[in-house]
Amino acid sequence: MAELSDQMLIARATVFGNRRAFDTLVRRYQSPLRRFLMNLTGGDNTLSDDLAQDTFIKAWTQLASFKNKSSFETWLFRIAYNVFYDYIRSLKEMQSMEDVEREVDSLYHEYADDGSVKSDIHQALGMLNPNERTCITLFYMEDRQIKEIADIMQLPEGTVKSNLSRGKEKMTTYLKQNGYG
Amino acid sequence: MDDDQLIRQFMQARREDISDNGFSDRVMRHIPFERPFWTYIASALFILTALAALLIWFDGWSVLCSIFVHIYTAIAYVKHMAFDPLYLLVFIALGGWLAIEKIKQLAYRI
Repeated sequence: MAELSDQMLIARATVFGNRRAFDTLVRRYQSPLRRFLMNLTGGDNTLSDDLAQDTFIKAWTQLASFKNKSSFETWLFRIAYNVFYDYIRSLKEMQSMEDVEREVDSLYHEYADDGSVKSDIHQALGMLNPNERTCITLFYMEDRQIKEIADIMQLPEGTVKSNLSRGKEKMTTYLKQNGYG
Repeated sequence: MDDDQLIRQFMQARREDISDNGFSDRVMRHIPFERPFWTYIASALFILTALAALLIWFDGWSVLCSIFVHIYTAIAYVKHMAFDPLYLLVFIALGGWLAIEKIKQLAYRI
């Protein structure tokens, strides 16, 4: 049987509440979504999977609000990004965006630097601030366009470009210093 | 190699597909079973639109009339027909198939 398109599966899930159709979407996108969250959390497998699960549950309950303006995958990534930040805000009371960013960074390093993770990618991404890290991950690993990244992070395209440029500079320096270049 | 290529190569080399390992099943077990309210509205709209399309654009009234005539004729015919075990077999097969489908649906809920 031919593989059904995302649109067809979303229509089935939306109009008839068809769980099988949604199940197919979950299986189709679980890998990129979990990988994206792994890179946001510094490689914390358990936390990433919990956040990915919350993302899919939220997607199911909000499926009617999907307007087809972006791809379903981009829409899922945007929910995941919001779920991640909601989780960070739930950890403790935070007054400003700077507090949130500080907490994101501390959570990232808590896991990436504890010695149990040998992955050099999390060490390299750890050189960047949270926004630069997300931009670099989405652009170079998930092959997202600037417009899509802006959509996921709800930032102007210009801000995404400057985050990418700063992130690129820091990453290049790190990679060259560590013998990758 | 320029900076862009260096980063892309580094990132792509570390991009791995994460195998499902029961993740999707776990997600589906946590999806609320109650259909969101709007799916009922969407279903009703879909059915009404389909009915309207059938009646307006595809000469649905005459199709419906001919279906009723066929049903009426079939009933009249069956009334005058002797019992044939083949009909019973067909009935059991159809009933069995519907039952299996229902059981599969219930199993999926669990």
